Amino acid sequence: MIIDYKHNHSGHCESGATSNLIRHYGLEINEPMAFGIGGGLFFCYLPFIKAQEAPMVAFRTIAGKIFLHSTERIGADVVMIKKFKDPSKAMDELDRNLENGIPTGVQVGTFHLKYFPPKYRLHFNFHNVVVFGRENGVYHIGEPVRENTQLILREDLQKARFARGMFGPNGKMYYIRSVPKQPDMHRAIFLGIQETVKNMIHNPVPFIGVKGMRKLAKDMKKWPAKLPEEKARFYLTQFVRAVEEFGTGGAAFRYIYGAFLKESSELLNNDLIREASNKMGETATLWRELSYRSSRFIKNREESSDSYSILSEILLECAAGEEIIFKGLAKLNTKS
Amino acid sequence: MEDLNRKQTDADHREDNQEVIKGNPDNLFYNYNRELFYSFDKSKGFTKKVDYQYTANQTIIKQQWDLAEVRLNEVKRLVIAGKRSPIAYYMEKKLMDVPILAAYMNHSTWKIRWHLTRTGFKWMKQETLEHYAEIFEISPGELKKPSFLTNFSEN
Repeated sequence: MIIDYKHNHSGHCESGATSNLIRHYGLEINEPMAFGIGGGLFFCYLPFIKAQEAPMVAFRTIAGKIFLHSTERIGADVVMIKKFKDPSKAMDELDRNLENGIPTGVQVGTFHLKYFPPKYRLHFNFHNVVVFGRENGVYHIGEPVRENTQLILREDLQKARFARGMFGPNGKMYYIRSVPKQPDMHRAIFLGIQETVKNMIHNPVPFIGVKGMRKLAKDMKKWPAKLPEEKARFYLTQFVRAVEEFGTGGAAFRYIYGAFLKESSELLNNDLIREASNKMGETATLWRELSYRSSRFIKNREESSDSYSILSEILLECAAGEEIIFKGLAKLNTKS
Repeated sequence: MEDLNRKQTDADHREDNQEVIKGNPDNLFYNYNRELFYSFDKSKGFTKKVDYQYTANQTIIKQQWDLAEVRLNEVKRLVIAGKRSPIAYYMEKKLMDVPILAAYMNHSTWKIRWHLTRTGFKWMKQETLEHYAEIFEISPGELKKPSFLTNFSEN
């Protein structure tokens, strides 16, 4: 049974899956909208948690939040099953959904997705795909980051849904029961922006939001003195990969968020948001520049005129830019 | 900050990419999948584009994979020298580290570390070996005596 499901290529897996699922029920919400309403933009720097032997840097909220928050804010009726103990039960539940014609989002570990070539398959457990069909033990997958839909064997999908390691998906699945025809977009956008503002500038924890960026910049300046050269370079490499590659990458999230602000400013006809969207675009370009210069610096130290302190200054500039944006957005209220 | 010689727009960064692709798409490391990128330009606003990863970015990804290969060869050497067990080799080959492998095996990390030594490997139960082989997706015989060990002695 294959559901008539329209696949759209997206930049980011979870917001792509969310927007595709919502669109299946007739409400036109594109990827940046789903990302913004779900409050997906985030920053956190956790030097005491080592992910792949380097300090952890995250540019988005934890997996599952974008789907839950964005659907809640537009008033959709959704089901999310967070955990299965028995893998075969999890697959049966998925089969039942497909029989009922419900496309279902699942969280998977990328290592077991055999349709990717080996060099794409890292142990990364936050990937999201949409399952929309099944034929004799072969599942049809709407893979948000690929242009076309993919096929996967039942046992591989089961392994991917029960990948182990840090933050394993444990068979998490989610689907939509119904979506309202005329949701209150004004309220949804407002709540989405409010959440991001709170995360980025009003969080008291010093590792989160703009404070986290400043802390990372401060630490980055110390890396060459504090660490052996190899290790400092490795830390920087992992940071650049976080900005550009892991889970779409931090710079790309800034562009997506800017696109969301642009679209909502047109929808609500609000100048405050329009101004913020332009600034967001500029900050995103600055992030991309940071990663670009860092990768050149890593590649060839002699030719590059950069140093850790210059890179950390660019990072501070990014932080300052985002602080201005979110302080501006914090002035929004429900009446505007 | 003018002295930093900034690249002004996203399009400039892409130029490098086009040059490489023009010559030969195989030059790119991630040439399998085109991804969707959002970008921003002051005059045009936000746009979408389907393209390969940046060249500069691809270079450092490739560097990481080269490093992984160096690590794998190093472990292989240690296994042949009899200092580590074949589990260490396959763990590295599957890009796992000790905590991930421990999570797959439902063992504690110290037990995994014990199995990485030759003595621990020798004393391991047959069923544990089969469980490891299942995770590494190879046969138990291959794990017991990997093909790259031609003169593997039981001691």
